Amino acid sequence: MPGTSLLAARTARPHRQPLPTKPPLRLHPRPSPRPSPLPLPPPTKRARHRPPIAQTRYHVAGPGPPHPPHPSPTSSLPDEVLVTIFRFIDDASLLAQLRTVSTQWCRVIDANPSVWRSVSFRRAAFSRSVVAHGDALRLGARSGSATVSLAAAAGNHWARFLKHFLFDNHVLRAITIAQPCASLLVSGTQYLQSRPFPPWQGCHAPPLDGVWVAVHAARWSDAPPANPPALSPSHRASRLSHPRTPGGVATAPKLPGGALVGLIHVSGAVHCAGAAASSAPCWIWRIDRAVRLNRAVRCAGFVGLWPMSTFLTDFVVSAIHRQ
Amino acid sequence: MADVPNQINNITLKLKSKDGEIFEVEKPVAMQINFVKGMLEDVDEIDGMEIPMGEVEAAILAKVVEYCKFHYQQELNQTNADEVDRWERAFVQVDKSTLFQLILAANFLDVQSLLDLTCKTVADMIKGKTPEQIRAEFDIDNDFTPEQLEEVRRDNAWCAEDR
Repeated sequence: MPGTSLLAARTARPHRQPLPTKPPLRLHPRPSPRPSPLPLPPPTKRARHRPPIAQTRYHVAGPGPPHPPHPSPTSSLPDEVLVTIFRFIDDASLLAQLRTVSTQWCRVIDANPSVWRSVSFRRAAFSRSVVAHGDALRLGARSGSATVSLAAAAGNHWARFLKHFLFDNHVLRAITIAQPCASLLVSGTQYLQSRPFPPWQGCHAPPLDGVWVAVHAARWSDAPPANPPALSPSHRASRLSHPRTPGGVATAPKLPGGALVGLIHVSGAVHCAGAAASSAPCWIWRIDRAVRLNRAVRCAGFVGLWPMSTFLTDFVVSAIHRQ
Repeated sequence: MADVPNQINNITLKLKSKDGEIFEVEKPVAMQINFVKGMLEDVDEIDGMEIPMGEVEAAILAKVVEYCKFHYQQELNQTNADEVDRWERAFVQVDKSTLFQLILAANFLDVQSLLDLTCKTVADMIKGKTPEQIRAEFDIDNDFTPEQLEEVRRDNAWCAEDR
């Protein structure tokens, strides 16, 4: 039996040597790709000439001789392990700060978009005073590109959004829509919207990766929906009702009016000639993302695609990235 | 039908640590280690063979085996999530040196769930610390030149926390 011979070998060992002062415990980073087939001992049948097992026998428990201090444990971690660690960091500003720990950490964070992909910018306190000094940040410069740009390039939707409106100073524009269409749009229930103008009206060319538009719900008295869609009690009442407004059960929930209710991302739009001779041509907007503000922001609305003030943009953006 | 897997499951594998200690582990337990799994694909006969586990020392290999055993049992018994969570939290209550060696071992032996568990533990240790505290905690040298550090800080200027 192999097991018994093993036991015999263990018990029969003459004496236990104390742990010699070994070189520091440290696994050297191995080049990926794993697994590299190590040289296997030839599967010998009978001749079991085992190496002496208990030369430097390890004891899991028990005092034992003191270990030599482990030198800089993390600096011996290979890059791929650091990436795995950083993927568990979900806060953008912490990740940004980790870049200042050491050159290895900075290099790993900058070179691996996957660590940025799903970080939250909730705790990052953006300030326009910083953004105003765009030169100092050298956004877009390869050597000193700001971390937001990194995250944006990694496909982080919020980073893209923040970069676009806070750093690149694009104007966020809004449309005013009657309720309940406004709330349906920002709750992600409605994916198409027809408007007499394209979502990029006023731009030189339609942006390739879509455009963010704020959704302003018209005041009820201004624009009562001529023909409100019937809302059955079960018809997504919970999704529609904003926390601040107690949702009705038997009647349609009271939706905010005269306020910004959220943002939509319009991925594209197609121009449709009026179907009937009398109807005006319109654009059908295709919406692929929607964000609802937990608290609607009261402000006046306008006709068409109207530019929001810098103050209002900041307010909405910070409200959203905090919620 | 039911006998066949039993026979297979009764096979034990001998995992050999760097310092020569042999761990006898049931095959299905050891198969959670992708390194072992990959190695067995190339070998026909495994009876009595010692599988060298590279640079992994006995103390660490013992932990890896303990982890795999627990997870094998957990899958068999359908242990509830709370209990698994509690066990895993207790499992990573080790000193930093052991934790880092465990990470390296999990990475080398390709045990993804163990790698995730240990890396998450380190990430939790990082959270809520300043860069200075992190360097002290993990004994990392600040190898930036002052100019480099200034430049990296400037990239972070958008977040007010890094003043």
